[in-house]
Amino acid sequence: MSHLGENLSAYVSDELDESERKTVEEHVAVCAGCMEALRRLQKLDAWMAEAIELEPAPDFVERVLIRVEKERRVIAFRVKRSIAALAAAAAIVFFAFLLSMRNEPPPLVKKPAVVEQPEGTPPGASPRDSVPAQPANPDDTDVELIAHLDELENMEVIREFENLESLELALIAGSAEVAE
Amino acid sequence: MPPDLPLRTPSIIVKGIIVQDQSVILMSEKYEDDPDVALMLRVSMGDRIAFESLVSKFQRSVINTAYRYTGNPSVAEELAQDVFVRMYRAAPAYKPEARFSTWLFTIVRNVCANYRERQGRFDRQMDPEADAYLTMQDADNPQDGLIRQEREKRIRNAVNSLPDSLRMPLVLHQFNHMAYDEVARVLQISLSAVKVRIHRARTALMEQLKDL
Repeated sequence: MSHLGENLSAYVSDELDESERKTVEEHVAVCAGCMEALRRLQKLDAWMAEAIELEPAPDFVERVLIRVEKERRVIAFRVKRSIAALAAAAAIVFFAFLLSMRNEPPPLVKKPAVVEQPEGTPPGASPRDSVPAQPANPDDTDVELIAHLDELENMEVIREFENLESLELALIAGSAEVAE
Repeated sequence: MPPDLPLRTPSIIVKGIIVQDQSVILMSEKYEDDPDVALMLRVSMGDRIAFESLVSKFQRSVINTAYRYTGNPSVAEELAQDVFVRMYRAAPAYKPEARFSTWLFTIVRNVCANYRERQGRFDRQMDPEADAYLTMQDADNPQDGLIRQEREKRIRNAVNSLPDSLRMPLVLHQFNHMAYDEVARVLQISLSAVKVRIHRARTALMEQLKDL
């Protein structure tokens, strides 16, 4: 066993500073055991320096590049798949939103309600106390109009309407004369 | 403050190691002038030629480190491929904090350690494929070749018998010619630990090879 410990190995590896080197050299000069340990370490170092090195296969770089290319494709595929999955999820959410909007009741519009005071309502009575007139259902008129749109486009029908109107006016005028 | 020093102010700097608050912190080494760092930065931006250059340059040292660690040439080549694939994977996030070789051999250490974990204890018998490789190497001089082969086998078996904690420091320093401070950075241990481990590894090898 050496008295110098790991410094003897570091000396062989040339890992000591100048003062440490000097200390080792002075010690081995007077210590046969450490001198023998140093000799054996140097022999081992020489053997390992002569150790056979593997030669890389001629196609090593090419094989690495092929593996890297495969890796790159797998990553690209995974990224594309993730993007497609995200797009599909976004589309589903969007259509679900559209559907929910369609089924929702129309939003309440707060308009200041102008309520006419019916006759006989005491002055100062709150409009809440009176019964507001029920508005005619606009849908009924719309449905009727839509059902007869094609007829309105027919000019003969319109002319008949005009004749009826003039006839009505004439009748009103006639009845007025009779009354006089 | 020099650009290669960490933000924390060191109290003492000894051979590349910062000693502060009774703890040992590995100092980032000087890497700005390392041409391989520049190449790796190009790889991180998708430069395939730069990647190929780095693989070409480091293939031999990576394969041989893995070989000295595993004792098996074909496994060594597989592991070396894994190292370069990992290097490619890590490229987009690469940030130079040390010399390129230090960074690369940190990957080598991890790949070898993972292999070791997967395999459990190595079979310390000679690998027949490795024997065939040795015979092929010494085909020109059979007489010297036999002696050399015998010594090589003994050294390889002795290295394989070392525990992990001693083997990797020895392999990096002895076969890969790394200085102690670089070994310390790769293995993320202190410089004094490297010094002790390499000495213990050599002492164990001398014991096994004393009749050689």
